[in-house]
Amino acid sequence: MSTTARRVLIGVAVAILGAFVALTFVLPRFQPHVFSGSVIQSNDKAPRVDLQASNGETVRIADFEGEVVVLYFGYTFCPDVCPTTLSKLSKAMDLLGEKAEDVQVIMVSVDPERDTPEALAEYVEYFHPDFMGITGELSAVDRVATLYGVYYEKEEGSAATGYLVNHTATVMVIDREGYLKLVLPFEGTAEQIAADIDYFLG
Amino acid sequence: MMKRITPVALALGLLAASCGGSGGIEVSDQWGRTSPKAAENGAFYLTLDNGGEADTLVAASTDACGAVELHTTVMTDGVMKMQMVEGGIDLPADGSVSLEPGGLHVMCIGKQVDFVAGEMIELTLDFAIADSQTIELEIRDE
Repeated sequence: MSTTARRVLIGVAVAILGAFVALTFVLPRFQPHVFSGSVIQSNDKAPRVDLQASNGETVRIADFEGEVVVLYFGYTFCPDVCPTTLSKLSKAMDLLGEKAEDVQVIMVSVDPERDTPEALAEYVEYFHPDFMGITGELSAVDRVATLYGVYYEKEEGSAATGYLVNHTATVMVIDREGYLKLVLPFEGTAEQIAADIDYFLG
Repeated sequence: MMKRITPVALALGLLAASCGGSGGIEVSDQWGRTSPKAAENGAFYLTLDNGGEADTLVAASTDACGAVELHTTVMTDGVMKMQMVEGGIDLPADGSVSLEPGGLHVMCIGKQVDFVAGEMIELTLDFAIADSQTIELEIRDE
């Protein structure tokens, strides 16, 4: 092979490699992130309502400013939707790797009657050691739920279940400044949840 | 989720159809999710393939739970409502029904065993027409 031919060949190879790198790694960075959840424009900051954390401390959602808060309303008695969601959130944290250190996942109990702080702690930490459970006086939980547009109501169950709690099953993402930014549907995958949270981590 | 029809399944299906469709009820994909001790309840999921006439899953029972109920989760505008399925879960003739997270499920009320990965649970399914079946299902991380 002549030197010229070899140079041309190398040139072509370099061009192909360059195009590959540009298409694979560079261009996607300039494309806007497509959210799997619904984007919310909220004017209200995270509430300064005193709640009871599963670690025994009194906390307010506002205390977590600086971190991205992933908020979920559920209860330990719930066998289907709540474990499914917490399990997905746990996988999403794993996907975020070290970045997950800047994320606080919180489950607020919509069943403070049955969910003691101790039971709640064991329940949420089972899914991920950094997850936090929150309960409190019904009036305090009510105020926080109302602020986030979360609906819940007790409904009479059978002799075995006693009662069940119907509740909004979406997951809320609050940015580092304390503003509600995103509502994730129950159907979202761990990958979609992680990608959406990642956007707010910057 | 659609299940891909393999040639073998197709052949079996044709065979069953040619025999008058008395294929009975086959249970597959049965499992339960691992859960902490603090969770009083659990849920079991499975797929029922009914090769015969229309039937109904009327009840389920196991020693692993204080009580067992057939439930469904209904989502309306993001609000989750869990309800007992009155009269049982209908199984159409030559059709299949999947019990999956966020939908139909067998609710285990008052877990009597720890739902740890690998735990095997015997669950008896009672049908309106077909004979009862006792299946084994595995508790696993999902």
